[in-house]
Formats: sequence, structure tokens, C-alpha cells
Amino acid sequence: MDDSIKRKIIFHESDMEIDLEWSKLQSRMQEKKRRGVLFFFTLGIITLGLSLIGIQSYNYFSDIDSKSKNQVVNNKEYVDNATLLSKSISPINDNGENIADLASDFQQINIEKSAQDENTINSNTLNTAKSKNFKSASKKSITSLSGLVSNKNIPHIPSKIAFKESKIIDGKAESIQPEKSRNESTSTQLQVEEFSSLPKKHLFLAYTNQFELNYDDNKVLPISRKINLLRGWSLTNTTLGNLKSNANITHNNTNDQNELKRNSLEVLSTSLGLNKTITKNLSLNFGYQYQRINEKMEAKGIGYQVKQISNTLIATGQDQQRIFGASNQVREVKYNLLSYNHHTSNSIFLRPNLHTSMKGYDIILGAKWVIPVNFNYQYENISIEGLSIESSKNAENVKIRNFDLQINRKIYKNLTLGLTGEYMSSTWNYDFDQPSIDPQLIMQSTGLTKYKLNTFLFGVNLSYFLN
Amino acid sequence: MLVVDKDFIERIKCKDPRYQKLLFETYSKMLLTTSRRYSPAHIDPMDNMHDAFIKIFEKIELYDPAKGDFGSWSRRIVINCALEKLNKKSYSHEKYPEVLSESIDDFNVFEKMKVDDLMKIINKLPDGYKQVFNMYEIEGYSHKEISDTLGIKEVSSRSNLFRAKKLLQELINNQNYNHQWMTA
Repeated sequence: MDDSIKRKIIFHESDMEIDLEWSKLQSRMQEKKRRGVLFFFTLGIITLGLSLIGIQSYNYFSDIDSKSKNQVVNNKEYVDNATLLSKSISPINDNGENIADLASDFQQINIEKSAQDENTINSNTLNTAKSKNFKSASKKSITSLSGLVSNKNIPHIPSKIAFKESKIIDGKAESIQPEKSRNESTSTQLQVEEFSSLPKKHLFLAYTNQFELNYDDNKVLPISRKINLLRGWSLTNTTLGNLKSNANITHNNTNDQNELKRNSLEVLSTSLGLNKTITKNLSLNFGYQYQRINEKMEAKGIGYQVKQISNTLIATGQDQQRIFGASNQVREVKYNLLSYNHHTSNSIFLRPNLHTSMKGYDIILGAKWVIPVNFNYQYENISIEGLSIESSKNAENVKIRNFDLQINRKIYKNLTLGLTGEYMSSTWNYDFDQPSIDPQLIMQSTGLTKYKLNTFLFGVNLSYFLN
Repeated sequence: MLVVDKDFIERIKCKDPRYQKLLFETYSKMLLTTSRRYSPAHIDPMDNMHDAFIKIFEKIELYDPAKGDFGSWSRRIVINCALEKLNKKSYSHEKYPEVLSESIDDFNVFEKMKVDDLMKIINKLPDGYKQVFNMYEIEGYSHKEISDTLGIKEVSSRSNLFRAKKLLQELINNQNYNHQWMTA
């Protein structure tokens, strides 16, 4: 086309009433300004709402914890220690004296000051032993279970746990002969000989359901919400979960676990962030993330309960656990313990996202860089006396990596719906370095517990475009 | 002619209504023409021009007088505003048509027409054709630039241009036929 024609077209001026159109334009500008104010007001309300949702979610989970604890406290079936003892401790049989004689042959030791006072140490003092064949086997080491009682001021909450079965079996007593001297107790292995007529108690914790974590799937909606604001900015609120998880969590303790297994694992991750579109194919998401991992652990094994402590060393083991008492005051206890662990973390995150489209679907690939602000471990062990023992600890060497894939499709003018899958890989450690002298049968260890969690989290995406 | 210099830009940035009106008075008629050439059928060109002016007032600081005249810059904003409202389904011809080999180069017929008539005929083109024709023939965009701007394939740009030209010829021929028939 000829240039002169082009110029004619380009610079052609259409007829119009300038004043009229100017007044129209002014009114439109006023309207836009009013809508802008309304938009930011709405945005403030939405932000407030999302924050409230976050706080409520947090409270909701905290509430569930306290509910399960209240169940323990308020249970009418609580059996106090005295009752338990009266039910479970049998009179010393005729062979008791012989046992005492045998025990008196054992190496005499000085007992720690706290242990010397029988009044300060409860009569149901109980120490754990690793070996299931403790009664008969020789060269079996005493080791502890996982967990820790690190604080003497730990609250002891009575629970509803009752003995399902409590019976005494007469049998031959066993003698326990330390293989090496006490000075080498850290590497000493036990040599167990027979006591005569050691009273035995078989304890089984009767509950199965009362301490379920009971996260209600319907109340925790795994959904990712995104509200697109002005100039490439958007507000994101993501809650992803794997509540009935098949997630794999590897728990490595420096001390061997005694038939420790995980009954259930729940993973929940929720975040609030801002997203900025950088280019057509790249956006940057950053914000705050709260993550919670709940696990119910069960430990089975055989331990020993000392009715009356004395300065007689019955047994000692690799981890310096020692059983003090006259052998006729010691009985074997089968135990089945539960522990509830809650790993919670507060983090900030930065996530670059790659965007592409394929056949009408928007595909977003993201890799999240998570910087933990704190990572806390709360745990609750249920002892055979029916006591709930709580404590907490901060994790170390926390590393969290997330990769996610979103597939979205526009379903309405301003609305996009899709699915999110997130792979999370995290590792963290807890350093258990305080040996326990707590008289309860609880899980005890020294050393380092390493966790490694690999899980997939799922959720629904909902994106709304305000502009 | 109004000179949009740094001082003027500062006044607009301060949202001075007198300067805003002055700018509107100077450029609105030209920009309305541009808006008519690019606005999709379902959009009022006047509304599109209003949108463009709101954007011009908001983004005036991005205009650099050293890089070109204000008319070109503001025209580009009007074009972009119109193209944003264009439905992508308008570019439905993804395949390169076989008849494209019959190139249409004879557009001398335009020279005999008045600009108003010419504009009317161009505006009769369907969405998709009209925008590609305007961008390629009048603004001088390459097919690559058009495909980048509109987010379509280059081959679609060529295809739409070809069809636009063919349709224009038919429209002009029909108009001539009608004119001859009416004057006969």
C-alpha cells in the first residue's frame, strides 16, 4: 500500500464531540478511582479473612491435641498407682528369701543419692530392658527405648489405661550376673541367670481408639486459593495434606528401638504468601508456611519393675541403665507403650514457578526453598502406670525441600480450577543427651534421633482473578 | 501542534485536569480513528479510546520524548488496548491456505477512494482479519511482530492477511458494482 494512503489513514481524525467525550472520560476516571478504593478495601478484608482462617486452623489443631489430653485426664477408669500396685504385686513367695540371698551376692554399689532414699523413689520404679528374652538369655544387653524424659517437672497426667490382664506366674528366679565390672558398665553386657519365683506381670494397654489423633478430613480442606490482584501480584493461601498418610518417614535412633513401630502418620502444610508474575513463564512466590507432622508410635518389649529399691545392682547395660533392688522385689513386665509425636515448624519460603500452557491447561512447576524459623517436637508418652508424660524439644539441622506441580484450567471468566501435587522431602535431628532417672517406664534414650520424611501432599487449586 | 515535553509530562503525572484535557483535545480524534481500526466488533471504539486515555494518564512517565513522538506512542497504547479485548478465537485459520500462492498485490484501488470510505471498508473486515491487515499494511509490522503481539503463529498472521485482502477486494468490487448499478 502506498505510504501516502497509510499516512492518510493513520492521521485521519474522526468526528467527535470533544467536550462530551471528555466529561465521559472524567466520570470513568472517577469511577475507576472509586473502584480502586473499593478493591483495596476488599483486599484488606480478604487478607484479614485469610489470616483468621490460618489462626483458626492453628487453633483447631491445638484444640484437637488438648481434647485428646482431656480424654486422658477426665477418664473415670483411671486407676491410680496404689490400686495398680495392690492389684499387681503379689506376695513374695517362699523362694523369696533365697532370691534375696542370691541377690546379696551381687556386686554392691553406691547408689546415687536420689536413689538411696526409698521415700523419694516410688515403689513402682521400673527400668526398661531391651531384650525380650531377658529372663533366660545370656549376654543380652539392656538398652533403652526411644524418647526421653528430660525434665523432672514434666506434668504427669493420669490416663484411663487399665490393665487388661494382670497375673502372676510363679517360676524360677533368675540371677543376673554382670559380665564385666561396673567401671566398664557402658560396654557391659548382662548375663542373666535364673531368679527363682520372680513375680511377673503382663501388662497390656487396653485402649486403641481413645488416643487416635482424629483429624477430621472434612474439616481440613486441602485447597490452594489464589486471588489475582493488580499488576501481576496475587495473594495465595495453600493448605495441603496427607492425613491418612502412606508417607514414608524414616526414624533412625542411635540406640536400637525395641519393636518400635509407627501406627499412624499425618502431614499437614499450610501457607500464606504473595505471588509476583515476573514474565509470562516465570513467577515468584514468597511467604509464611506452617507445617505439622503427627505420628503415633507404639513400642513393645519387656522391662523390669522394682517394687522396692535397694543398693543391690540387679543388672546394668550398655546405656548405663541399672536396676537396683532386691531380686525378690523385681518383676518382669511386658509393656506396650504408645507415644504421640507432633513435629511443628514455622518457616518462610521462596518459590520460583515455571508456567506453561498445553491444550488449554496451565501447568505450573515450582521448587520451594524453605527457611525454618523454628522446628519444634512435642511428644507425649503413655506409661504403663497410665500416666501421660509430655515434653518438647527443638529440632536441629532442619532441611525442607518441596517440589510441586499444578495443573489448572480456566472454567469461568475469572475462575481457574486445578489440582496440586507437592513432594516434600525433609530431614531433621533431635539431640537426646540427658539421661533419665525418672522412675516411670517411659521411653528413654541418649544420642541423636534422625528423621527423614518423604511424602506427597495433595490439594485442589482455586484461582480467582479480581481484575 | 502540542509538544509533549518533560514539563508537560510532569503536569500530567500530577493529574492536572487542564493538561489532561489539552492532551485529550489534541489527540482524541486521531486516536479514535486508530481505535475504530482495531477495536473488535463487540467493543465500542469510543470506550476503547477512553480506556487508552486512562492508561496514557497513568503511564505517562514511561513515555520518552527522545524515542519518538507522542502520537506514535499513544497510538500504540490504543492498539494494545484494543488487542487485549480481542478474542483469540478470531484467529481461527491456523493452516496455511493453498490459495495463498495467488498473491494479491494490486491495492491501487485504494488510491481512488476517499479515506472515510476506505476506513469504512476496512472496518467491515471481521475481527482477526482487520487487526492483522491494519498492523501489516498500515502500521508496517512484520508477521513475526504480529505473531508475537497477538500470540498467534506466524502462519496464521499470513493466512489472515491473505484472507483480509481477498475479502477487501470483494467488498470493493461489490461496492463498485452497487455504485454503478445505482448510478445507471
